[in-house]
Amino acid sequence: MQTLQLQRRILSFAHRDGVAEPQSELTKLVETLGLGIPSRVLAGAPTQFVALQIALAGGERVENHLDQLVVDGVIPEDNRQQP
Amino acid sequence: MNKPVELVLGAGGVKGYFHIGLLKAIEELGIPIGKVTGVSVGAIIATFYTNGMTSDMILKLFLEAHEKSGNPLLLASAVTVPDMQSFLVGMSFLSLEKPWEETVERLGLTPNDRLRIVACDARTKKPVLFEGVSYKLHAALSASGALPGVFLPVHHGDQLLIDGAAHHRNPDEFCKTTAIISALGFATRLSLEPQDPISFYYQWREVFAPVVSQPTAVDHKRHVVVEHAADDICGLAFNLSTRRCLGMYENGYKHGLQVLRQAIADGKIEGNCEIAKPAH
Repeated sequence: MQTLQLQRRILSFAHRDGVAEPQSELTKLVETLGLGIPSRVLAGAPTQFVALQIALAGGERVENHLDQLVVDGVIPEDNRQQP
Repeated sequence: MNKPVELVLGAGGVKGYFHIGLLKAIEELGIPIGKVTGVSVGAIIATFYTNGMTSDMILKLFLEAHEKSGNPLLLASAVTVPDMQSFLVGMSFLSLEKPWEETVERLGLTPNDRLRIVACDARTKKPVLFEGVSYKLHAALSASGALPGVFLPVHHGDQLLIDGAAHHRNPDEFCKTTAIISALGFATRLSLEPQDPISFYYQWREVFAPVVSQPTAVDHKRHVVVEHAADDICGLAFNLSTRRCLGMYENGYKHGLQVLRQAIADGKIEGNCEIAKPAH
């Protein structure tokens, strides 16, 4: 399932080395991409669910953004190979 | 601020696509929804919705899972086991519990104050209600969809739980206020389209010899009832085309808009009648 693969990529991005607060990484991603997910949904929800919402709401835009972060060296190459 | 109404999403397997269409209509009409009661496939959709997913998100997830599972009742299996073949050889045929346990964890779904899930005590045929925030969501979802003869019942304390539809297909008895009830009709005839043997068997059973009695009566005076008809589709159809699934979604949306706009005009529920975009 495409969405679930993307969800894993997003989780891997949020939990990468050096990130202390995965939840705020996800919130920043929502804001950066202007995904319009209500803050009440983001607040207090498990990171898996937030990542799922981002994958469903953003789809290809999120994928392209993560690809760019890989190119820029912000996140490791293995982010692309999420099962 | 409009006063929230409750929502009941009934049982009906693959016909759950009608529910998603109705949710789209509810969103567009700005109808505030309070508690959501779900049975079987209705429980799955109610869980997604009360966790914060929009109808578009649920539809996307369902359609993606459809390629692997063929039926929303097996959505969890589509997430956690590799393919339909595994289902056919019996890996996930018997129990929904393990796939749901993994799926609830993987998707980060949680019980919440807006959600009610209805299962049924196999022995007494009385309803068992999962409500609040401190129960095992995967057990509730597995039990609520455990149609006897198809899926294994779920152990819950000293009870053995089966599909909530065995108690009632559209249980409105738990609603404290007016509710919108999304009721999925039964198959009443065999399909003219080619079917796989399993789907044909279950279609035949639904039309001529239902596996279990499923009461359907609801209080039409108190509630707004949206009845969805698809008389040649049985709940346990496994090979419906995406086109037919989307057709149910679109019909659920259009019929939902019609019924809900009338209910708003009649003052039975609150919402914005002026908004009615076409389905996409």
